[in-house]
Amino acid sequence: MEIRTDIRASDLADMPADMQAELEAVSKSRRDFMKVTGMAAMSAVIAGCAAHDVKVKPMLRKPEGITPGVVYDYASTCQMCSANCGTLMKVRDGRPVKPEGNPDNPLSQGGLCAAGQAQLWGLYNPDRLHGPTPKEEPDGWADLDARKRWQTLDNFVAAALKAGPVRLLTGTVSGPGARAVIEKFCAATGARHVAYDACSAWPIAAAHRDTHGQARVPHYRFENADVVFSFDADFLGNWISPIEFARAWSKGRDLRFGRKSMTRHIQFESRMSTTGACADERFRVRNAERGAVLVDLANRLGGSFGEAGKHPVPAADMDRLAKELQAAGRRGLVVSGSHDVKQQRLINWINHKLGAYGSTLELAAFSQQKLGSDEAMAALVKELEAGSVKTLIVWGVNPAFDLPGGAKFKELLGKVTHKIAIGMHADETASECDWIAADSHPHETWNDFEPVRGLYTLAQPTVQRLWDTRPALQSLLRWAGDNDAQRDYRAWLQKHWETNVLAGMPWTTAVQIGVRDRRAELAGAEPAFVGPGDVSGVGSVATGDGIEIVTYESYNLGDGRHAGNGWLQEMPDPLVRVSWTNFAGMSPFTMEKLGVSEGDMVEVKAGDATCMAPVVRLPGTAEDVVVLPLGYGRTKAGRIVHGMGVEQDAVNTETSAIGDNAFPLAGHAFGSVSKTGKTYHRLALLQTHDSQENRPLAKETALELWLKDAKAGNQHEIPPVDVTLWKRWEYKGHKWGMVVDLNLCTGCHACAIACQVENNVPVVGKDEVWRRREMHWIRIDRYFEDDPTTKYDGNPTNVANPEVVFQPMMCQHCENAPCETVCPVIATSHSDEGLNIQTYNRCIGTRYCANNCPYKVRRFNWFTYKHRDLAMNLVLNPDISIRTQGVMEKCSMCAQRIYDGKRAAALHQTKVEDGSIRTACQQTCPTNAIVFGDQNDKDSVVAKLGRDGRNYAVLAEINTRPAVTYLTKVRNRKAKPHETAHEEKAAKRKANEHKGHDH
Amino acid sequence: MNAKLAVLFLALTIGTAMPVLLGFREVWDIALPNYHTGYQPDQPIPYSHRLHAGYLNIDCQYCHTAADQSRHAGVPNLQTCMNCHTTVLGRTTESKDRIAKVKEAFDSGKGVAWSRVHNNPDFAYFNHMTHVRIAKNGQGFDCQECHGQMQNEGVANQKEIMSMGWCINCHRTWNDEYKKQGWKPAAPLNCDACHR
Repeated sequence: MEIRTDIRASDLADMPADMQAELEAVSKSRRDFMKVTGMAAMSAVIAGCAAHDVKVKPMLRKPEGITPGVVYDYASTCQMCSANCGTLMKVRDGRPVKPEGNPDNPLSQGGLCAAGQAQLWGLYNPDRLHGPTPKEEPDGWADLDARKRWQTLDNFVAAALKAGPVRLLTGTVSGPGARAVIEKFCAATGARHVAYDACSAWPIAAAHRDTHGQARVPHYRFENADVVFSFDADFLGNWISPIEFARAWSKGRDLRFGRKSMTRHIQFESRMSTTGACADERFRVRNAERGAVLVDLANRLGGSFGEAGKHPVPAADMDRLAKELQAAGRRGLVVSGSHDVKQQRLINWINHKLGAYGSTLELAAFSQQKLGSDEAMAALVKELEAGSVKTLIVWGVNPAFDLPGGAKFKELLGKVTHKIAIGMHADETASECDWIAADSHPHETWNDFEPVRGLYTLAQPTVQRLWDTRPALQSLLRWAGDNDAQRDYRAWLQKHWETNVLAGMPWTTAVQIGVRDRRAELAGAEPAFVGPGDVSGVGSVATGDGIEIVTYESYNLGDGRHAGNGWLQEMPDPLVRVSWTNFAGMSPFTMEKLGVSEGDMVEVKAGDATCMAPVVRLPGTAEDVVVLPLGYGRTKAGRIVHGMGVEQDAVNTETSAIGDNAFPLAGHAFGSVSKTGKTYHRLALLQTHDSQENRPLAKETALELWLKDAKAGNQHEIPPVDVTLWKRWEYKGHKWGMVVDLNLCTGCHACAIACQVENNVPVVGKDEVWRRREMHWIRIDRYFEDDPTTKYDGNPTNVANPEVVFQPMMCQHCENAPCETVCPVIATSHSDEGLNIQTYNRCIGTRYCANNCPYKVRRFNWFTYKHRDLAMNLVLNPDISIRTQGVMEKCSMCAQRIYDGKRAAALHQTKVEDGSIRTACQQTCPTNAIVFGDQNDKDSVVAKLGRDGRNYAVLAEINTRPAVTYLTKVRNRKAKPHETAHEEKAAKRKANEHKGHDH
Repeated sequence: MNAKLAVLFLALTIGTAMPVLLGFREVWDIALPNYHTGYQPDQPIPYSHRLHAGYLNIDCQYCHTAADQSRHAGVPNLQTCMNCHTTVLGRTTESKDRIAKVKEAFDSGKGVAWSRVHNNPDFAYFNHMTHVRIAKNGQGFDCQECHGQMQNEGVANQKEIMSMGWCINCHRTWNDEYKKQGWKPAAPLNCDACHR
């Protein structure tokens, strides 16, 4: 057992004493754990070290109000993307251990996405820069201490700022304090600020500049919409502010607690997205045809925008849907992720025509997420080409990777005399710069945000700086010459907020809840519609050579900024279910046409841009379209992309690399796909069978049928036979259970990652995933539904436009658990509160239990997945043991949280209140699809949902009696013939049963 | 067959020879750390519980402040020592020496790295707060129930075996009493109460 202990002494000195103790304790206790397993103990004895000599170094002074081992929540703001959801950081012994959603944040309302859950990886990431880093080390650099090093950098910057035109290139900066700093910097140095987002919402802002006189991205209010039309806007996946949108969308889709109506969600899209997968009706429309559908729709709504070109949506459907949208009026909403400004103008016209402005979308309190301006960036590139920029400061963006034509940007950087990067990593752009001013992690610094105009949020540090870094804003203040603000940024920020933001709210309150909402003051200030502007030619269908290229921000890596994050690399694409690489997704028909099969390496080419990717089947994608996720192919994202803990395949590296960059193709509409003759080596697929084979595990029905019969789609095909070997369990106290609403699950994987972070589930790497040895305790099964009307050659997954259902599958905590019966050492047992318990230290790894589990939710540790870097161990949850090689593990229903909740109730001598215990997956779920509670408590939500007509247990017929049950998915569309037939059959069966009883 | 016998023979030989070759002390070390009854490691400063908790009658939780709030009882921080020892400087040369060490560790900011006495294995989650504050219907157990009469001891040492059987026996015994008194919730006997 080897643990790196070579963290520099100077680094340790910067940490609080308790953190040092933690560092020591972590390494020592892990070692102890190893001791109980044979060989490690032997070697320790032979080495002659005393097995139990563990040192404990308490704090010198105990900080007021902080107790060792107790978790405190700190309200903060997630900075994984510009959506800036609210977080509550669980901080324990001076270090953050788990992010949770902040229910006080009116946008995210307690939800958090997978990337938000994975944010702590970045904090402890050993690849982070530990201090200012020059491209070429000056003489005597090694002898300088941290302060001197920063001084050297600051001197360089001071000289560079005097050299001539300065440009400051950043991502979205929305906070009032942060913007003031940038203004200060620009005023002091004459710099110009350029905001850039790789996947921006700029076309929407540009269209509103023409139609409303304001270049604003509206704040969409899905909760006010009865009918949503989405044209390639993946608003449940990664569009602008997905968590907020998912929560708002779910409010109209929730059929629990007696609700009888549902909103309508129609998706027109070229690729199969998670949003399309959740839509009631979905039409496959290629990007080239989108304008035609839009014009057709606008014309039917009373506009005259010329002739609509030929598009695949049948006229009858267009007519029906247009009427539906018109009827919804101001409770209708049309959104689009189109990059064509003309199309966006037409969208604005439609929304205006509906009267939706001020109702389902707002321009007064507008969105400030994804603020990056494509125009400003294009202007900067022109300036760089002309060589007129002498000094460029790049903060937190990576255009050398993610600007279409990034390679050119790298060249252009050569024309700039002084290049300074502010960032946490030496990424593709920063490593081209003369100096990198090492930025602190968001968890180490104060910051503020204004994701929606009038809604201010704060981010506060949750840990002392781990390394000799300096927060970006403090660097800018320093370079602007404002040393007072730089030295105590918190004090400066507090003053700035008290003067400009708080309007009476005490600063301490703002810090405590993390939010100051002043949107109400903006009410009624909606800019007026001035006309649709130039929308000529929108209706024509673009034609091009070859195949249409569709790129999208990947669900896990975003625009590539999360590529160094192991948790997110291992998170599969929700639809394709591939991790550790990107892919060329195609419909089965297109695959057949091109003569390629799954796993073939193809080269997608457009102009001189290429991307190599393995082909995967993505049913539901429009024909003649190739889908490429962005964000993969980072070359300088740290050790993760070089295969952390994974044997790198030396023989076939070029076809097994972790993805290829698709950004160069992002600007191209059409291109070609050619076979390379190679096969992708070790495609890390997490699900290989896409069909339920007409044995519904994830049940579903149509709204009209459900309204007639609450049990629609949920009748037993085979009734369970209640036979068991053992005595029935009695649950005298609690009986924990969970209900998952399939109607609300969007397949976003936030729960899976939250579970992984909470429960110390290891990242196993690409090779192991390829061997089907992934360790996620929750897997989100995705099924492509068999629709008889569009059947193709008998293979249900080959249908043209399948419906999709997501089903989170974790340990079902069966009452008659098949695993418990076969364990020879009783390592898995039943608790008197209905949980199926796995006792790791008892497990001898026979894997009988996994074999006997009908749900296949047990995970086996084929190796000891230890962190190679000591600092990474700090990411582990101290409430959960670290499992080692040869041990079986699985969902514990967050036993540690259950005991914490019970302890808190016992302390106050009250009963455990419903909702006071929330599992990690439940807490983060953006749509509240997961509910946990006590089934023995008749008034608990779980018990109520257990009595819901939609409630069912998966594989009920084998009588495992799971504690985890599901609610049938209900689609708000006309019932399909097979669904009606199913209902009729069930009714007949029921009638027969009754007849049987009569006799 | 022969191969299996050879393996068995080898295992038996190693098993017998190990205590002889390595000494019983080392084999004892391999055992789970919580089994070390009587374990009394040398401490950098030989703090006397007898003097402080016994003779001076200072409450356990004056120093182990987290015991009723947290999983950990907490090794006292040096500030707690300095509450008294800025003025109490010791009478004998020996005690003056020890107190000077504390002061030095505090003033220099270096702190003291104590040797941990009670080491539960990583996979066992014991919670002090539950036992000190919640158990027995809110009365809690005395520290002495598990840690022995520490106020009569010099340098801290482990009094009880703290094995799983020892925990479970106590839980079972007390559950009978709980039932009699009508107290809730009962001491859990589920595996996941301690192992997760």
